[in-house]
Amino acid sequence: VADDDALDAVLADAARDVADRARALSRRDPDLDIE
Amino acid sequence: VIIVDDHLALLALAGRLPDLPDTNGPVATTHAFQFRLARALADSTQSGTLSGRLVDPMAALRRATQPPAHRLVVLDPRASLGQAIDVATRHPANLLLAELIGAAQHHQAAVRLSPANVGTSWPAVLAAEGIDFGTVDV
Repeated sequence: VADDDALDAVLADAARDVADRARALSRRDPDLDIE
Repeated sequence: VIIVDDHLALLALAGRLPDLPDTNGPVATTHAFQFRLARALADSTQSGTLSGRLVDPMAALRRATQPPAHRLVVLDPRASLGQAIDVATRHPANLLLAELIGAAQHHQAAVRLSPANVGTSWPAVLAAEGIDFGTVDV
């Protein structure tokens, strides 16, 4: 449970950066880009 | 059902998604958004935000590839494939958008996205398809 709690905290803290990375990686992929 | 993008899905996976106004039901995402999220997590554990911060970096990826159902449901794209194809024939929609709208129609779901993940044409297409759509700034 402690490990899960730690993972929750790290993922929440990194969510915006990971989302930015997901967008950046998808810009070269026409099927997955938002534009 | 409430369908969210990869950013909100990651917060749901972390148990930190805020209440989404005017919605009810389980939080879900599409297969395409799951792929975007898992790819970004894998990349981040190697060279980005998550590198060196986790004892078991693969645990972060497993959270996205095998999400606990009480936190996030991944909708089977096969169930809404017909609707997704119909959307793509009516609008210039790529796989990401067509799957999103098709899934929303199939599951009679609301769609909530982070503002940065709303493509320029998306609001008009979502409205034309009658989707309950809103943004959530987190």
